Amino acid sequence: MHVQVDSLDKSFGPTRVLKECSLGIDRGEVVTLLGPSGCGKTTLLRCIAGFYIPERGSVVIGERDMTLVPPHRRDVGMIFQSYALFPHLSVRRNVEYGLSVRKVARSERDDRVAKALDLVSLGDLADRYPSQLSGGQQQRVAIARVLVLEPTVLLLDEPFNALDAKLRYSMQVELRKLVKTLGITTIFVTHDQSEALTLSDRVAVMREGEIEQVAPPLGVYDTPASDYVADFIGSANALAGEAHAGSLEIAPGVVLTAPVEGRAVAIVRPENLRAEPVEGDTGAGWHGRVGFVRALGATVEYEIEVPGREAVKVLALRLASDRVLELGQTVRLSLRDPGACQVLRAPAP
Amino acid sequence: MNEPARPAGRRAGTGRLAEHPLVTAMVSSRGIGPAVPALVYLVVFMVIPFGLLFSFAFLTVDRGEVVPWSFSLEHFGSALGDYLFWRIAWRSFWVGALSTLVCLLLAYPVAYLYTTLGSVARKLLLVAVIAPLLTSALVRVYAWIVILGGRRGLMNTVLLELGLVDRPVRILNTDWSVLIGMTQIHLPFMILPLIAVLVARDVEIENASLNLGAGRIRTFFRVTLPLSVPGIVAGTALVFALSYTNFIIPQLLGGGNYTTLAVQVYEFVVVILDWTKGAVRASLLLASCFVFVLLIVWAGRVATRWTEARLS
Repeated sequence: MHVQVDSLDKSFGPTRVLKECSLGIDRGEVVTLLGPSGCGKTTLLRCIAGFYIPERGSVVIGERDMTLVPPHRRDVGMIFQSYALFPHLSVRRNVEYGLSVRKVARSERDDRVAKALDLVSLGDLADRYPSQLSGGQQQRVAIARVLVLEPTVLLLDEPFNALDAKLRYSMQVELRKLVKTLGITTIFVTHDQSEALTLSDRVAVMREGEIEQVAPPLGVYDTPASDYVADFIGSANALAGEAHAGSLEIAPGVVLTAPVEGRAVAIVRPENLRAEPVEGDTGAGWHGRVGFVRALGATVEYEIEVPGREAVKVLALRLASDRVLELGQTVRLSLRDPGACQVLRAPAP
Repeated sequence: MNEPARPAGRRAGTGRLAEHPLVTAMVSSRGIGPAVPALVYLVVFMVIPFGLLFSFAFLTVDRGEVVPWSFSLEHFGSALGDYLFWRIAWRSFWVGALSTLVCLLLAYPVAYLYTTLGSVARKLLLVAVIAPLLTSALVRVYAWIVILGGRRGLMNTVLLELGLVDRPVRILNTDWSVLIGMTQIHLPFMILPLIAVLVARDVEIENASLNLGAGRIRTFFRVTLPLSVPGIVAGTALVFALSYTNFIIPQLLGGGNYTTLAVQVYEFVVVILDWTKGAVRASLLLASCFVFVLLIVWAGRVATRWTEARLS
């Protein structure tokens, strides 16, 4: 493990922001801390950077206990949400800052600054000031300013928030490639699940100061540890029921194998459901009426109203020749792959 | 995406009155519209009186009447050729400059402290800073006379009782008392602009400096201090202009014979009734004050550039 966080506790006044957070990150791995605002993800990042001292627990970076080491002796690069560039210094001086603090020799300094600026393709703008740059360029300066110091750990606090959607995606891909080429252990903080899936080797989903699940992107999607994770990553239908003797009936005639007993909840992804139009009343079975249609081109999202239950979300792939279901139409629902449904113990009410 | 971000234009004001063309012209951010009321006020109550005062410096007054067509530069010439004038001007300058420097050194830590406090402590500190401004400067000057003055003054009584000195210390009617008075009376004007600049600073920029390997002290001198230069310039210019042109403090705390340029203006105009000489000195005081303030602003720019040069 390159970065090891062990049962970290941090409170601000009466609010306990981190509750026994533990997380291990391998050398060169990219991990995302994902969760809604206020879940403690930024606090955890700042404990690793050294801006907060936790009340309990430890932060170990490369075999060295860093829990109480002040931030300027940690050798951990951080990209701030606001980029936090020095407004009174030119791009070149911004990038040079860390080297000049470390008293690196003049000639070597110029060399490394030029290389870092080339890495983020900002060589031409070296003499501009931060206020003369666009948001995307400012972010590149922030990245170059940190990478010039060749840190072994890189922390990023919602770095793409200030960028527009298109630029955001290309910067995500670029950054992922960059840190993978350089082999830097990277920890991202984000509340955007698609960003987390794009960037990371593993995703740590956080909830109210606790780490709920740590798994590769498809792992958290396919086998969520809780209905909270399932709902946060992608969209999901959480169908509750009583599990008996290893099976759970989520609808008339639809039975799943259940590893739990008693109150349980089945996580069914919308793309795992099929909705077919039926004529008239067909008696028993899983039926509903189309309550909402959202045609997105390549896919169509339906909300199917099932009597006596919550509405069910269905996602269908669409070809031009396919007929889109109409509002109010009666449909029969079925599972494409019952094995892909997760059955979990129902959360305490 | 290569275009730098600019603040979006703002529009204020609603209702019928706000739609009147005159009001629209005034509140629209174009031209001098919004400044018209203040401009009118300043022209009537400042520019015209200044013009009159200025013109007296070039005219000869004989038995209380202006001699027509007596324009001459000789009054300026005689003042500038006078050794005494330069000695007094020098004293005005160094008293003003020194008290400004002491104000800056005292005010910066207070303003910095303010930004680290919680909201209640901040309010208390702000009240403490502003409270002296609620009393007249004249009253505070007299209070200093009571504190500093004489063998039985407050300060000497305390010092003698504590056995810290054998004989009463003489501070009143020296340079020291003038400096002490000026510093105390003008301190809020230094603290307030510094607070304004330091409160508005982005602490994340200092965190970035820490993250890049600079310790707290280095971060202060390389990031916090250079970024607070606008506040330093504002406070310094304000306090220097106030100290340089103040005549009450040197007159009362310096004793009757403590003369600065401002004191001379007062004496010539109010006591001796030689308006020409008073006007000459007032004009020179004003012009030199203006030059010094410009120098302070220029020095602020150079200082910012200097910190960048030091980094390379």
